[in-house]
Amino acid sequence: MAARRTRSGGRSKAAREFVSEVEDLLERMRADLADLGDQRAAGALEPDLVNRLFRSAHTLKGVAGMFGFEGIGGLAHRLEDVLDDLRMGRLATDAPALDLLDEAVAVLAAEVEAVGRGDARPEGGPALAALMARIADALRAPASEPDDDLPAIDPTLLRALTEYEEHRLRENLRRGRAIHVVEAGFELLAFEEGLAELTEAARALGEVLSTLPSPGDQPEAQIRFSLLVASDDPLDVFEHRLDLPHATVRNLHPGAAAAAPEAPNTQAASGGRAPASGAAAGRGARSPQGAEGAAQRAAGERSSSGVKASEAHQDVAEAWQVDRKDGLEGRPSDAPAQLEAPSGASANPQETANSDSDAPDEDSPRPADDLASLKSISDTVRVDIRKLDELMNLVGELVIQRGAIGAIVDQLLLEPRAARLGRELAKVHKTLDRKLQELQAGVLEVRMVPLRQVFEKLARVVRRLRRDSGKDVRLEIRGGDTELDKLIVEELADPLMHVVRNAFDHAIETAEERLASGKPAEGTIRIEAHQRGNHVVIQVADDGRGIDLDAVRARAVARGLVAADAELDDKEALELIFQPGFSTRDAVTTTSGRGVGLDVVRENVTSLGGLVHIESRRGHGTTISLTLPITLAIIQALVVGVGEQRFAIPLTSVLETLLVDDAEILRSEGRELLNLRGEPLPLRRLHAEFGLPAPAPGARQAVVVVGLGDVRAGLLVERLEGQQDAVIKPIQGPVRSVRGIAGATELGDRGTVLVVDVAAIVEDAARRREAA
Amino acid sequence: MQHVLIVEDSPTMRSLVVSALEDLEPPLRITEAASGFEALRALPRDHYDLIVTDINMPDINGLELVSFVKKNAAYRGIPLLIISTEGSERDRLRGLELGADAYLVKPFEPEDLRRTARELLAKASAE
Repeated sequence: MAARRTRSGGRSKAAREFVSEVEDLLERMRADLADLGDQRAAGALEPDLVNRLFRSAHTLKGVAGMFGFEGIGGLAHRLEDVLDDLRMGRLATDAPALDLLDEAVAVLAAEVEAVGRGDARPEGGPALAALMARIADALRAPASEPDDDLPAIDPTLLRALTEYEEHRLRENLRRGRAIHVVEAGFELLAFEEGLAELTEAARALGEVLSTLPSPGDQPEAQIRFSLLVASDDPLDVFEHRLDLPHATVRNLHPGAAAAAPEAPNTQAASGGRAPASGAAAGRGARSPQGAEGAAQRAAGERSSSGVKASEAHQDVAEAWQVDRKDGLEGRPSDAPAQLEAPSGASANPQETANSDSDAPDEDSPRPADDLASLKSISDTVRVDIRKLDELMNLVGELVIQRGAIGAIVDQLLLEPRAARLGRELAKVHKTLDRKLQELQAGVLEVRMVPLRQVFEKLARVVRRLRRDSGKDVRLEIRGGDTELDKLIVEELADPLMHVVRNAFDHAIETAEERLASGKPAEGTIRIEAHQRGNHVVIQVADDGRGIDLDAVRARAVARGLVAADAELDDKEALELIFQPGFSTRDAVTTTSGRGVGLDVVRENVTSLGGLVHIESRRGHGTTISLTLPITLAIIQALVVGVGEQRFAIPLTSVLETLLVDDAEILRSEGRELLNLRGEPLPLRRLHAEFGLPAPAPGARQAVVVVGLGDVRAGLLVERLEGQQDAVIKPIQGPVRSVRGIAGATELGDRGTVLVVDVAAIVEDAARRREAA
Repeated sequence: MQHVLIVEDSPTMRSLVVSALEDLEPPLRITEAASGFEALRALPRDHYDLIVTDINMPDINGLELVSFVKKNAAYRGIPLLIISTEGSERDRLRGLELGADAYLVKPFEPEDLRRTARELLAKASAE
C-alpha cells in the first residue's frame, strides 16, 4: 500500500509534480500547435490533435485551479474554451486562431516561469489581460448550426460517449460516412497489444470515435472492446480491408458516402449563435435538476478555490527552486536541463496520445501480482543530462579496464603454466565484453532524442517571422524522428536557427519579386533529416534567390578577405561566406541581426565533429547541409602510429585502409594525390599536420581513407595498430585549440593518445584542393 | 483496510487526491492508475471499495470506465466517484446516468473529497 505521508509532505510532492507536469504540458502544447500549423498548411487537420490540445489546456486549468493560481487557471480556461470551440467545429482553425493559441501558450509559459521564480508581481501581467480580451473577441465569432439529431443507433454504444466524441460522431454522419462497430475479445491481463493492433487497423480505414470496454465471456479473465468507427467504406469493403480474423464487424449506420461532399469547418461554422453564451445556455438546459441536486448533496457545497492560495504558491515556488537547482546550474541558457521524454515527440500524433499508457506494455504481459506497476507515477523519467554524462564516463572507464584485462589475457595465454587459467579468463573476458557493449549501447540509446524537438522550435520561429514580416513562407519538415545524441541536438539548435532565419530573411524574395520571376508567391523552406551510417545529415533548402556570387566576390574584396585581382571559381566564392565577419547585407534586420554569421555556424558544427556544406543556384535556391556524428561519447577508433606518436581516428569516418608505396603517390601542383579506383584522392601526411618529424623515406606507408558527407581524403600514416573503443575527453589547456585534434582518449595499457578531428582535416583538404 | 483506486492521468491531480485521502481515518489503502487502461488491468487484481476517476483521459475515458464497471457483475457494487473540471456538466451527468454514485468538480476542497469518499466508503461496507 502507499505509504502514509503527512499532509504537508503530500502537498509538497504535489507541488513538485505540478512544476514538472506544467512544463510537460506546455511543451506538449507547443509541439501540438506546431503540428497543427503544419497540418493546416497541408490542408489535413486531424481531429485528435485539437482534442489533445484541448485536453492539455483542460488539465492545466484543473491543476492550476487546485493550487489557486487564478491568472494561469483563468487563461488556461479561456484557452480551453477556444480549443473546445475549435474541436467542436464552432470556430474555424485559421491563421489568426493559431497565432492566438501560440501567443496564449507563450504567455502561459511566461506566467508559469514568473511563479517559478517566486516573482513578487501579482500573478497576471498586462500581457495576460490583453490576451484575455483578444480571446474574448475571437469567441464572439459566429457559431455552428444547432446539433442535428442523432440517428437511432444502439444506445448502449452511445451512452458512454463524451460530448466531444458525440460531436465527432455527428460530424462524420454529416459527411455521409458509415458507422461500424468493430468488436474483439482479449485476455484481460494482456489486452493492450491486441487492442492497439485493432485500433491501428481501424484507424487506417477511418476515424475511431470511441473505445468501449465490456466484460468478456469469462469476465474474470477476458475483456471485450467495441470500437465505434466512422469510415467511407461500406460494411463489406470495410470488413474485407480490416482483415482481422478475430474481430467482428457490424454496421450501425449505412452513411451516404456519395450524397454529401466534405464541408469545411468554416462553412459549418456559419450559424448565428454566439458560442460562449450559446454553449453555456445549452449546458444549463441539458442539466436535469435531480441528478445535479444528488451530486451536490453527495459532494457537499463546492467552494471557489481548492486551498489557501499563498500556501500553494509557496509550495510551488519551492518546488521550482529545487528543480532549477538540480537542472540548470552552470548552464549557459535557460534551456530545460532534463532529458525530454521521447514519447512527447513521437512521429504520429496518435502514438503520442497513447504512448504514455501503452509504452510499458508493448513487450510482454505482466504477471498478475505485479502491483508495483500500478503504483508507478509515470512511465517516463526525466534525467539530468549530466547524470548521463557521468554514467557514460563510467562506462568509458569500464571499457578501458576491459582493454587492460584483455592485454593480461594475451600474456597469460603465452605463459605455458598459466595457459589454462588464461583460457578461463578469456571466456570471462568475452562475456564481460559482450555485456559492456550492451551497457554502452543502452546508455547511448537513452541519450538519443529525436530532432523533432529542435524542428518544432524552428517551426515556431518561422511562424512568428511570418507574422511579423508578412512574408509568405511555408516550412516543410521531414525526418523529425531521426535521432541524435541529446548533447548534439542541443548544440545544434542555434546554428540551425540561424540557417533558417537566414533563409527566411535573405534568401526568400518578396511575393512581388517571386511572381515577377515566375515562382509561386509563397516561398518554401524545407528542413530534412536522415541518417546515413553513423552520421545524420540535416538539410535546410530554400527556393529563394540563391547566392549572388558576384556580390560575394565584391564584398570579399571590399572587406579585404581576398585580393582585388584574385580569381575565384564559384565553389571558392561560395566558401567565402563562411569567412568570419562576412555578410552580404549591411542593413541588420530584426530576423537575422543576431551578429552570428555562417562562420559561427560552421565553427559550432565543426566543434561537434560535423561538416557544413553549401550548394546554391542563382534564382533557384540554396541548400545548406549539416553532417553530424550520431553521438560524441564513445567511439570505435582506429589507432595509427606516426613515429613515436599514436593517434586515434574515429572508425565512423574511416572508409577503408590501404598500403601504398611511395611511388604510387602522385604529385600535382604541390599536392599529393592517390589514384583510388580512378578517382583522385587528396592525401594528407599526418606527421606534417602536427609538425612531427618525417619518417624515413621509401618506407611502405598506410593510407586511411576517411570521409564525411561527400568529402573524402587519405591520411598517410606509418602503422595501423588496430581497433579500440575510445572515450573522447575534451582537452584542457594550450593543446585545446590545435586544429585537427578533437580530444584525447585513454587506451588501456597504451596510455593517452590524441583523437584526430577528421572533420577539420577533411575540410582543410577539400579547401586546399579548391584553392590550388 | 478499505482500498481505493484512483484513476487520473494528471500526476499532480493524482497526488492531490492521494494526499487528501491519506488523511482519512481509519487509513486507506490507495492504488493509483495513470490511465483508463491501467485501471482495467488493476480491477481484476484486487478488491476495491471505491473508485475515483477523472473523465478526460487519453486511452479510454472515464465514462467508458464507468460503463465497464457497471456492466461487470464482479465490480458493479464498487461505488464510483467522478472528479472533473467545471464546464463538463454534460459528461458528468452522463457518468451519473451510467451508474456513477457522485461527482466532484475540480478545483475542490480536500475536505469535500474526504467527506464524499467517507460517505461512499460507508455505503460500500454496508453492502
